[in-house]
Amino acid sequence: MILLIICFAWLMLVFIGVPIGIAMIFSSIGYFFYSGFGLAFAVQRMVDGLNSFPMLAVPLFLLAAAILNSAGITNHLFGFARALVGHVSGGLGHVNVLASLFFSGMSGSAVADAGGLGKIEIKAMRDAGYDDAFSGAVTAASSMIGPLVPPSIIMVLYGVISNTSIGKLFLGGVVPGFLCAGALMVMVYVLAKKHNFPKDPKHTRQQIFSLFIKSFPALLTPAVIIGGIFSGFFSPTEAAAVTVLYAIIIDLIFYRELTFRKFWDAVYETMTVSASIATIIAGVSLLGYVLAREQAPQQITSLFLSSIDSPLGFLLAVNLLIFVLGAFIETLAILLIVVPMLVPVALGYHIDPIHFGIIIVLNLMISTLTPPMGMALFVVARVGGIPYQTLARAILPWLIPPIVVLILVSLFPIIVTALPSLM
Amino acid sequence: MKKHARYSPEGCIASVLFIFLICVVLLQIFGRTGLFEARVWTEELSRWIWVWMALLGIGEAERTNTQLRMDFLVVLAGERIKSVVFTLVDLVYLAVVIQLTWVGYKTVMRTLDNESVTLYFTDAVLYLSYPVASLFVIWRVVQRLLDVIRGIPPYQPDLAGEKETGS
Repeated sequence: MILLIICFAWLMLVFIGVPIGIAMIFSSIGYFFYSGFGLAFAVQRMVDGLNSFPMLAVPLFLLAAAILNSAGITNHLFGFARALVGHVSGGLGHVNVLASLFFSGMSGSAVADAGGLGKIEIKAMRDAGYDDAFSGAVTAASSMIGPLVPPSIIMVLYGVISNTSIGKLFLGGVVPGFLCAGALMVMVYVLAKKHNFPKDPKHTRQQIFSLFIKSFPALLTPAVIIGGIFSGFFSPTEAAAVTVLYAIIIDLIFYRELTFRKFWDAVYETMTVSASIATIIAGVSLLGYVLAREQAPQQITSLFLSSIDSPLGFLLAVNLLIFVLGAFIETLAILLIVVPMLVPVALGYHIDPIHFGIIIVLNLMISTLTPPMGMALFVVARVGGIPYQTLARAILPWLIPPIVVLILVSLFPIIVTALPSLM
Repeated sequence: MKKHARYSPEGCIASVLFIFLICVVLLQIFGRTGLFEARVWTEELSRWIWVWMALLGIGEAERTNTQLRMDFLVVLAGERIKSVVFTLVDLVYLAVVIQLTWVGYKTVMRTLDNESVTLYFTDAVLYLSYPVASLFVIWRVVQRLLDVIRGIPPYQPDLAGEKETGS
């Protein structure tokens, strides 16, 4: 009963606009007073919740993406993608997906993709005569590839809360990420044929090669990250710092667009965003303590085990649960509150934690697209100057390709586990 | 109309700490290559810098209204109701932060004699981050409440929608 009251209080606070992390602190403190525990260890718990080395990867990967956006590297990636697939039916729609796939190898955040690449993509599509609904929807949908292909901030956080290898999670996301890109391109092709969308003239091989050379240093980033982690040269957290250094070095040598002012602004903005994520992590540390005291994980485990007897049934239930929650609650809050309670249940069903992690990440990324609380939709609406209502309607058919991939990934664990098992 | 400053003292300190953090993590990596002498304290120091940076940054997140929130219900209810609800929330928030600052101070006192594992100072330095950062949060929340009384519109980031989250 107390558990239900805490959850209800937190949801009510969130829905009246209290910041997500602060709402967790409020409801936890309410519990402490109600139970007569006092607040003696509250501050220590919040600070200790943040005091984690793997957690450092979050601000560092965010900063790497911010530097790549500030340094204009996204323009080169977009240009290269346009030369490769711009001439196919629905040209710029394919370019949009391919550029996101390229960018995902450098950034671990869907919102960084939607905010950085999104501006360039929507402008190019508008200039070429595509309507706003299609341009915005394909931009938002393609941004979900970002956290599936390494590096991935969501995977880092999942790795920390579930005690799973972050390196293996990174590898596990590669095939689903490419599958999502493929599925989205099929969707673009079908819609382009139906609506007779324009396409670019074909580029010559020399033009493509020249654009490839310009983008090559940036395209090499995932190889640096994955190679470094699996050669044992650095940990995922250290890989994030190397990515920041690499982004600065390739800009200094090849692109020369990053000024000190741009760098400082990237650091400053990333610091602010990291602080708002830190508020949630601190809140989760308190709320997690409350949930553990009330034996919430045990109650949820026994509830699932007594009502569902197959791993597939459990995965179906989890997918439905996160899909519904994702439409109303911010991705990070679901990841940090709900998922830690589900991981032990998944292990109870003998589900591979890497497989489970990728299902969760994929589902959470779909939730960035589901109205009314789709974070990617908010960002694309803002940077593209597209009315939110238009985008919220236009995105609905675009949910089909990632949902199909989610079903495939849930049914066939090999899609996820094949690559990590090679290491 | 009052113009909000682009940077804040706590934001600048936290950003400098962020740059320092990157340097410490890179020193840790290069320390293993033989280019520099390996340092055992780099991991603990980087964690502590991150805690200080993140907590100080909360003051900046409060100043710029960039805490992650879902305000669509109160937005639907209208500007006046939104303003009333947010002011009430800020009053409760202020009371909670003041209480937690006091608890944070007592935590610092309690951990004063605990030595860190690899660094040459006490654990209290880590926990001091909380009360110090809370003072900035109190300042920003009070400022926000005073702005409401004076009728000054809240801070609007240039491109709030572009702010990244972990998603």
